[in-house]
Amino acid sequence: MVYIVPFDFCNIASVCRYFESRSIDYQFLSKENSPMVKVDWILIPGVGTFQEGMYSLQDQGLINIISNFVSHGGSVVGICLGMQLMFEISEESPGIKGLGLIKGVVKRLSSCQAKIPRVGWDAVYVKEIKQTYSLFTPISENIDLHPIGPDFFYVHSFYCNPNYDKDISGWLKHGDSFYCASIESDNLYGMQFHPEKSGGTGYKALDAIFLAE
Amino acid sequence: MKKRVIPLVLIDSGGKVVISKQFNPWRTVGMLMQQIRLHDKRDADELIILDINASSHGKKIPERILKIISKNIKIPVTVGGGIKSVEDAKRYINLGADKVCICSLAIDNYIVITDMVKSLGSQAIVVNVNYVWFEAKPYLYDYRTSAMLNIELGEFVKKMADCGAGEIILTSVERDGMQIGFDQEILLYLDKFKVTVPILISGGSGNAAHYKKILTLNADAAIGATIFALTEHTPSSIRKECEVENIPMRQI
Repeated sequence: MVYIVPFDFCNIASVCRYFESRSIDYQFLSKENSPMVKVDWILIPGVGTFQEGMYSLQDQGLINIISNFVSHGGSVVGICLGMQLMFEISEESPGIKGLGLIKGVVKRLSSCQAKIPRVGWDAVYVKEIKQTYSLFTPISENIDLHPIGPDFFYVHSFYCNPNYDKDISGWLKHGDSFYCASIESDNLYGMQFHPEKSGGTGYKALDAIFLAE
Repeated sequence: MKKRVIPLVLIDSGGKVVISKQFNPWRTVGMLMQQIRLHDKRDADELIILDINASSHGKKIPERILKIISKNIKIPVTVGGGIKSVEDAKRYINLGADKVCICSLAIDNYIVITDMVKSLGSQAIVVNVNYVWFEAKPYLYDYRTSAMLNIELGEFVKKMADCGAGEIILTSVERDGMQIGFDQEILLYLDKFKVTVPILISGGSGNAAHYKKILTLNADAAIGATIFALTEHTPSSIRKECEVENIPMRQI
């Protein structure tokens, strides 16, 4: 079962549509649920502001459920704002504490380098072939960053900046610089782009997580 | 970011899809569900769906229509028509839109945009600006009254960006449905105003060369309706042609 965090300010229908197309059971997470570690997933979707996201989690009484689930080894997937909420703080909403599941902060992209918000299709870059299961299959063993091929859809003005580079599984390019596009850290997965909005390419990325084995 | 090719779907009453010439709907080209599936299958980069009657009739897009949209598409969708408040915007997004398109409200009461940005984020708010040229300057056009307004486009776009609008669509009323090419002048004009949000150009496309021309300039996306209804062009055939000119386009 995939437990989707319901936010009333973002498009959840498109996330549901993926699970329906794959016949994967899902339901909306509420404080009455107790997802089972190693069996269930929690998915945090999201478009919206960091503050709105954290207030909504708080109002729905979901912060402890998510934190406990993760500390017992449960798997969580965050998409866009959902990934950002997994961090400690964000420049978008000073003074608001994030879930703090991943060490690091969320920062504003520079508008000197390129247009903000960063909207549209672009590449995900990867560094090396990972030994362990990875979201993406890189195209070469070269240590330089490579686009993986098909593009994904991005909509954001902020990026995640994990304290540890090892948590980053994919990079995005803004201006001439590279920033975190996806994270993979033990049982936590995050994507800055929208796999549920990236056509067949995006569905494949979700398959790599939810249909893996 | 790659440059985008975006089909625009205009819906009339009951989910009928129409095309227009200079803002006068003149032909029904199909039904919504069929059109959405077609664009999704043809690898459009995004889709914009506008209800052309909602605002003038003081109505909202029915839930049934919004559900048709969310159930049939796996690319980003912008939905517009009849949005008057933050609650309206939230409702559209919650029922399946990724972004909402604001047009009449931007003219009537643009301050609401600031509130929308606060709760939904800049990236979810697109402002569509319809304009006509008059004595070598572009002015806003209100389609509800078919009248040109005494508001110059540049200042208005700047104000929308300052309110936090995430993207601005510039729609040339004179070129709408005419298939004579996009308005390149408007980009040169807008350069003076130093707007940093993505600019989408709409109105006038009839062939792939039109897209090549406008996307080589400072437009982030080019929008077409009539071209995708009446010609053999598809977003992916246009992307291929643009790539020949080394314009960065989405890789599938």
